[in-house]
Amino acid sequence: MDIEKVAKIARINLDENEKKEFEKELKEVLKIFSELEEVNTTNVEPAFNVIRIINISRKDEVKPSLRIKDVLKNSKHTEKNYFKGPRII
Amino acid sequence: MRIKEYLRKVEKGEILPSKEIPRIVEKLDKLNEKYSCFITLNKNPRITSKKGRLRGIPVVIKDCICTKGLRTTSGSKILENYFPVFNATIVKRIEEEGGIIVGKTSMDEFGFGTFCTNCAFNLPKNPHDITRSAGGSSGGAAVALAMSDLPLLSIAESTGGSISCPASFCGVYGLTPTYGLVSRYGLIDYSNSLDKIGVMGKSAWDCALGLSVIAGKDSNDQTSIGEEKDYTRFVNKKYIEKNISGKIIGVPKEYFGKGVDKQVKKIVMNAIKKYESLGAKIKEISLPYTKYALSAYYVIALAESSTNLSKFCGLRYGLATEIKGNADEYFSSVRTKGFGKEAKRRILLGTYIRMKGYRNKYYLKALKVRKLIIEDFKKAFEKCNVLMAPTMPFIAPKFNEIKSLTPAQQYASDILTVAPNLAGLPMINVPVGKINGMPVGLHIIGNHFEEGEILSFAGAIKW
Repeated sequence: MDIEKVAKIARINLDENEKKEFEKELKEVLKIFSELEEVNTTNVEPAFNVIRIINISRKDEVKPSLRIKDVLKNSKHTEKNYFKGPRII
Repeated sequence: MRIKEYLRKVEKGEILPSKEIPRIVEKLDKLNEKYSCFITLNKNPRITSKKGRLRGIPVVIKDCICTKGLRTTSGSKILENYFPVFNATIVKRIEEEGGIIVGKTSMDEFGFGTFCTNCAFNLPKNPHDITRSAGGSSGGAAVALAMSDLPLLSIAESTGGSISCPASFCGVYGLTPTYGLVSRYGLIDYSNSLDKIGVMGKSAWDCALGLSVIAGKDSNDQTSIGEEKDYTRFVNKKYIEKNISGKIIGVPKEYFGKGVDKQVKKIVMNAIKKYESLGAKIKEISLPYTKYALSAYYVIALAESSTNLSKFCGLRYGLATEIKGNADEYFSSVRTKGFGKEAKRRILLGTYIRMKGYRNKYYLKALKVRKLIIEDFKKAFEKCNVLMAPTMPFIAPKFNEIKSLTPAQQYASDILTVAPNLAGLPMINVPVGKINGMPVGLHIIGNHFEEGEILSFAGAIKW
């Protein structure tokens, strides 16, 4: 298991000790998960949901929503009516 | 005092919520010092004079459910200063019925835990023995009820057993409804296809009352398909007498196997036998895929939670640090600082099992095994009306016993609760006995949307 690669994808920084510790624990858990291979699932459909859910659609109408002032309330980095984030390009 | 009596007194004008609620909050504040069941206590609750079904009742809410203007952390440092600007649908429904939100209960971070020891803030203590776990992840929700005789209603949430487990450890009733019966709008997701908001109370009637208020379809949650119903009629004495006679209780042999404490088995079996005196029949049944439920559950739950938690990156809400470096560096620094150890562990595992090359092996396979587990239950419900088993394989463990368990061993403690949760079935914990002063729970599991049936069984016997 490439713990560094996984951590990079997950956007989590790990120090050397954490890498060792998590790798060991994760391997132990994954070993248990591999017992699923014993189950014959030929012709079994995956259950993404437990009960039958029918798609619901609605008209695309403009409705009152939260005030911009409220939406921005929980963010530390805002400018005018926008969230401010790190440079992407 | 019981909720029923409290409601009667409010109705008669013998209790004035505007005077009683501040007294109750004060008592909760004091008790909280010893049992740490609240992350946030609402010291100035909005006391309405609405005459609904919860008129004047103090209600506590698990901290993963959004309450407008009242801090909501989901038990995580990454949401330490999050104040929702809207109410979850169930909070709105409770307030419309006159319920008064008095506090937000402590929990494992994002619901990640069986013992409520993965907490960024308060670690709740079991009122029956403060050296023992309250159970997770809705630990605070159960402790708030068990620590006093105040007439509280407690709203909790379960993904893989987070209502049943703490209810069992703390000796209260805990109802997890069918997936979809209660709107999840405003719930901070753990695992979308598994999360269910439910009710804890001191009786089956309390749970029935709470469910009657929160259940029902909501246009803000596309997975909500619930009907509105008065569930209290299922715990009515006359209804119970007529209903239980002739019913068949299925006892799955796999739930009494290795790993389940002998005394727990004995107490639960004796409790099940009591239903025979009400005219019910007991039938041993088998759920052959039980063995794989734990792995299938954790694979699905971790895969879904790792995607859900990707929204916490220091932008729109939650912890934010100084913006430095590129996007990846900034997001990583916020997440590394904000998430606790168990959250990181689950994000890493969930990310791994969704990676190219592993997705089919783990995630897709688990979804197929889940299908087989659902079919197991469906076949069982052709032969019986409800299933009964122990809720947890043991009584609440001591904190120092939990410390020595590896993550894999901790996950294995969910063995009896994950399968019905994976199948989205309704279930209720009923406190039926004690071992050395510690509560033991009977788990009653019903078919989809058979909340009335399990409530009727739960309310049939006074323990």
